[in-house]
Amino acid sequence: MNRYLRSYGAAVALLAFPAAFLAVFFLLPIAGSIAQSVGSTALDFSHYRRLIEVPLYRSVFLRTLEVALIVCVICLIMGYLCAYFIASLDSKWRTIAIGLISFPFMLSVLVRNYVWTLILQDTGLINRLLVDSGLILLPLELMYNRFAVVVAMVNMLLPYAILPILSSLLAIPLELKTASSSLGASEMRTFIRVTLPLTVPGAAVAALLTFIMGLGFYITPAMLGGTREMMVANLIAFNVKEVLNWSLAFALSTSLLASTLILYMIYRALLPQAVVLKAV
Amino acid sequence: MSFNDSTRFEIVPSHPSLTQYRLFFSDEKWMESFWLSVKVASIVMISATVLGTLAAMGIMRLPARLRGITEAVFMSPQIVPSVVIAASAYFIFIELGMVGTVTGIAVMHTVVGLPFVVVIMGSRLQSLSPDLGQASANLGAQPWQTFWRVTLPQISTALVGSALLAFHVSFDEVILSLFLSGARNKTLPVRLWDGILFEVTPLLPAISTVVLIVPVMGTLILFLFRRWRAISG
Repeated sequence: MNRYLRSYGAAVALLAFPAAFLAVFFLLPIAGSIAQSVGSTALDFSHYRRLIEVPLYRSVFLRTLEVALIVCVICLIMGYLCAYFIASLDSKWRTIAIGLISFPFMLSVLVRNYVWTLILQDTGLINRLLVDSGLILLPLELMYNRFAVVVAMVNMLLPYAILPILSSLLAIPLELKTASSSLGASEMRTFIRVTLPLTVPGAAVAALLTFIMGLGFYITPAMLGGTREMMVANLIAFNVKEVLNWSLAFALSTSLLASTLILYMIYRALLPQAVVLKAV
Repeated sequence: MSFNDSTRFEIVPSHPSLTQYRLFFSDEKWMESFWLSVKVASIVMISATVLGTLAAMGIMRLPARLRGITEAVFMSPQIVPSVVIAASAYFIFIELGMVGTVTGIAVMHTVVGLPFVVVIMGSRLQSLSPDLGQASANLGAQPWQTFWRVTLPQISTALVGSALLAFHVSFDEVILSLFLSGARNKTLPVRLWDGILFEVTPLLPAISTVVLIVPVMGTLILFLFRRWRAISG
């Protein structure tokens, strides 16, 4: 008991300073923003009503959900294929592949988006190749549309899809596949009946992670989407920095925060399952 | 592309030159931003590592019931979208007159850098054998002596790794800086952002390369540090 108490006291002492820092500079401002979104004096939900009633805001919200969902689905499919391929490699090549997947984390987000503009713009890589080779006369419109935003977002988020799926694939004991095929199942049947169900938790984690992160994207839509493909994060920045409509900006940011946190709680609830699978 | 004289997009430069770099390193505004970023990132490197290590050590000692929730709170700056953090902080900082100050930017970069340090230090501290700490205490060492003489040497590589990662997070951070930089103190990514969206500067590829090289150098430092640790015992 004494030991427990001493350790508890030490924990509180160690945590005091970091916790105070986080409370003052992170939790407090966010609490303030939530308070501001429902009016500074009396409770007032009119800003939330405007989010639903004004067509512009509603369309930005729906677009954000749509883009995040499209990106999430593409990441899930491509991520599953990549992970499946990597899992089939021998351990040396697997290490190299995982290294290559993690490498982009080291690179500047801004520069990676900028490189996409260099590839997709009218005088960019793709159009230059197509025009110079005589395949097309006028450059294709690849930038400032949904396509550009989705392509770049998939590029940014794919590693977050591959890694959890890969770890759930690698956790499947080899004997299961052998057992399945020795019982007469074809490779396809083994995949559908054995591999796929066992990787569902990993895939769910991948889907939630890419979707949560996709909802909050700011840099990519601003650089590659233009005004047509504005997402919630851009609308928040616009209201804060250009029109100084704080209450509306905070109603937007509180909605974004709430959806993120709800999805994050589901994610945390799923995580142990994905880990338990690893231990099997 | 950065080693090119021409403004046309060419993968293999037709007129190789270092003009872009010369212009970048002699441009007062860009250099001001560069050094501001280095300064902010250096502060964040220290503050995030110290706070994050303290937090990780504290979380480890908590009873299991409280550990999960405390950890979740310390990880949350990574989950909450940057725009939400940035807008909230901006609102408060205007009142406090902290917009555009080095302190303001560094403080908020520390907030988003913390989760990275907590994860790295948490997993390293967990992997340490508690017997060594116990042995040290049995031999009569004070807790801080145990930390300094027993724990610290074991976690030094993770500490350097966390510090470099915190530096990188800050050096690369765009969204918070866009809100908090104001007109006076523009960090390198903010100036790069302005350059990409609003001006046509022939320097962009060179600056992008500088921004890309810095974290790679960080990894190199970590690698050398591990080699040095391995050699010196």
